[in-house]
Amino acid sequence: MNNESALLSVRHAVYDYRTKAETVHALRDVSLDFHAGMMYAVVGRSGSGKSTLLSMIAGFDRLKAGEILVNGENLSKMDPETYRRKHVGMVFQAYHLIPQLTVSENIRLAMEIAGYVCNDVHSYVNTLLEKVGLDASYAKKRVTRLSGGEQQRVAVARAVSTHADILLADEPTGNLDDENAEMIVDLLYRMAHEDGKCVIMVTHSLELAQKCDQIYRLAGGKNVAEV
Amino acid sequence: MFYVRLVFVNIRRLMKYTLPLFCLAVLIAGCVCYVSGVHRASEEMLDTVARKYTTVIRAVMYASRPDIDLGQSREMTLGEVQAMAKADGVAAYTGIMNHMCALRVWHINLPADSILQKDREMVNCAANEQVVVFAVKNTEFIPEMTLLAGRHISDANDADGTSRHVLISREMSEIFGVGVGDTFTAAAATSERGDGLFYNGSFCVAGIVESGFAGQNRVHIFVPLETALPYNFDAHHAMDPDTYPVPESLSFRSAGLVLADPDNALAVVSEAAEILNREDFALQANDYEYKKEVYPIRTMMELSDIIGTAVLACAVVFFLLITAQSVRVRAREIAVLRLLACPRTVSYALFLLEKCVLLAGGFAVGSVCGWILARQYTQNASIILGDVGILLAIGGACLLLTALILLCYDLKKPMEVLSDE
Ligand SMILES: Nc1ncnc2c1ncn2[C@@H]1O[C@H](COP(=O)(O)OP(=O)(O)O)[C@@H](O)[C@H]1O
Ligand SMILES: [Mg+2]
Repeated sequence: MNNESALLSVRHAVYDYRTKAETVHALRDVSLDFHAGMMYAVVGRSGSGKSTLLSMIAGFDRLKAGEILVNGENLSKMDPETYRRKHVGMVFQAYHLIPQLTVSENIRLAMEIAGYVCNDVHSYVNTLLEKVGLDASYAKKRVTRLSGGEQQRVAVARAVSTHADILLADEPTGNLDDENAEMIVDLLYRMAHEDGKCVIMVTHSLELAQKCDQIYRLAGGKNVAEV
Repeated sequence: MFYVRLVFVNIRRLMKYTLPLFCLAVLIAGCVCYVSGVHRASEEMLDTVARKYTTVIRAVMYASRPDIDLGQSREMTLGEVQAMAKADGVAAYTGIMNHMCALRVWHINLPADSILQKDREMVNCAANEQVVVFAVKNTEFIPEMTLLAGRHISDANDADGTSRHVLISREMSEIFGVGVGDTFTAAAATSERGDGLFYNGSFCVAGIVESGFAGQNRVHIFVPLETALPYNFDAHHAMDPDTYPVPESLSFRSAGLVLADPDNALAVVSEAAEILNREDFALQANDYEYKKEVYPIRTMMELSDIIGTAVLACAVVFFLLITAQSVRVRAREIAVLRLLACPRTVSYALFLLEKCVLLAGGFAVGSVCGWILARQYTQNASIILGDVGILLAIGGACLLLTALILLCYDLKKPMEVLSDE
């Protein structure tokens, strides 16, 4: 695999959680490459360090050792918030939408934070909703009134609203039924292939993982053979 | 702009948390304005009471200071008096009201065997009669009496030490059959009485008046203050006020002086007491009455202070508890903001702005309510102005503590907050 052309490349990443009682070595030595326009699945047992890896890629904390290169630039040298605003969109198992806001307000908040300017916000939000398979009537609905599948689609719309090139999804289908899960994965796949985003999805389901361009497996904080 | 809209959206949609905060803000402001309103009203009342009583005392005091002309001045406002006092460089100063006169009251005990003599014919005084003598600077300025015949008397015209012109009451004129221009002499039959109450002055009646002075004892005469009377009046000052009470109808207020510095009322009382050697019965009576009126007001003031402070403290504590609770409940929201890479300053500003709006709105409503309630006690419309400072301080403290609470919850990483769910 050509490291130079990788949008994101993780090299010998080491990270541990220190609590008073113990030190958990969440990442021992992970080296992976991610390219734009591709969708990756990260699989592995629970506790194998998948979420931690995504957190590191999202810039929530610094690695204890190793490095993450974004377009060849070391992440630890960048301001993590600026990086996240510019490059990263995130989708979570629990959606993490702000409950008292409407669909459109949730999306606009993300845009506002990212400093993404847009002349016609309304039609932009409607386009985004259309893209994730929701019609314009959803814009004014409160997110708590939506079903899980719909909420997750709003979360995807929010993640892509700022034109981030890296889309991180931590078990986005965990709370969804099969039908909705498949729909979300298809959606993410389209984001990778139609919009050229680098989509990294953590999942338990091998079936869903099979839909991705590439599957990485983590075990005990290390990446094992690529499937 | 979007953020500002967001703040209002949050306030509207999260009524469950924002409404109690708003209500507490109303309570806090209401308390502050009400308590300080009552406080001010009490101060006004104390002021009035102090002025009322010091007025009496000053009048008595000035009666013993003939160098001050009480007849010349006009009515003054308190402001004018204060300005005058300031110009003269004194803390307390008295202005003099229009219809003032200084009074000195003596009760002259006529023994049963005493004779009130009219020069033409002797008048026998059968009963143990008492004549009340009022020494006044100028009778023209006593509004409680009407001249029926003759003329008024004053120090300027009549206090030359020899003429002894006096005014007598209508009753006295009737009982003793004396009229304007008559001369009468009051004399004890025996000059060797043990109580020393000799009374043998001779007076010329300058006028007859109708007056309500001296209560039931309608027999009284008015003499110029500076009249050189032939006996020692001071002896009579020591008379027991129970036996010879102050005539009720004698209005001291008409002899009133406006005191520039009502706060010094008690100091003035003691000063007056000292000057008068504590001999004047009016002092004690007034001091007692003064305290009787002042204590309930003081008590009300202190009570409202205590209750107000307690309610205020409770409200502030509740405010902070509810804030802490709302931040805890909304920790998830803050974490999501942080996930979206929202800078700390912005996420805090959002929360603080929300509290600001609630506090400002609540304070505005509360101030108006408190003010309306306090209006029952006072007409002072400037109530709110003085309290704005207090409210600003309380609001500032609340915001500061909210920021601290936010900081405490923000110590955790956003991912941990969210995975705690
Ligand atoms: N905040 C934390 N503090 C301490 N240990 C943690 C924390 N988060 C995760 N871990 C530990 O790190 C390891 C990896 O966790 P994680 O990356 O969440 O695994 P996965 O997502 O693959 O299930 C696990 O053993 C987990 O218990
Ligand atoms: Mg996980």
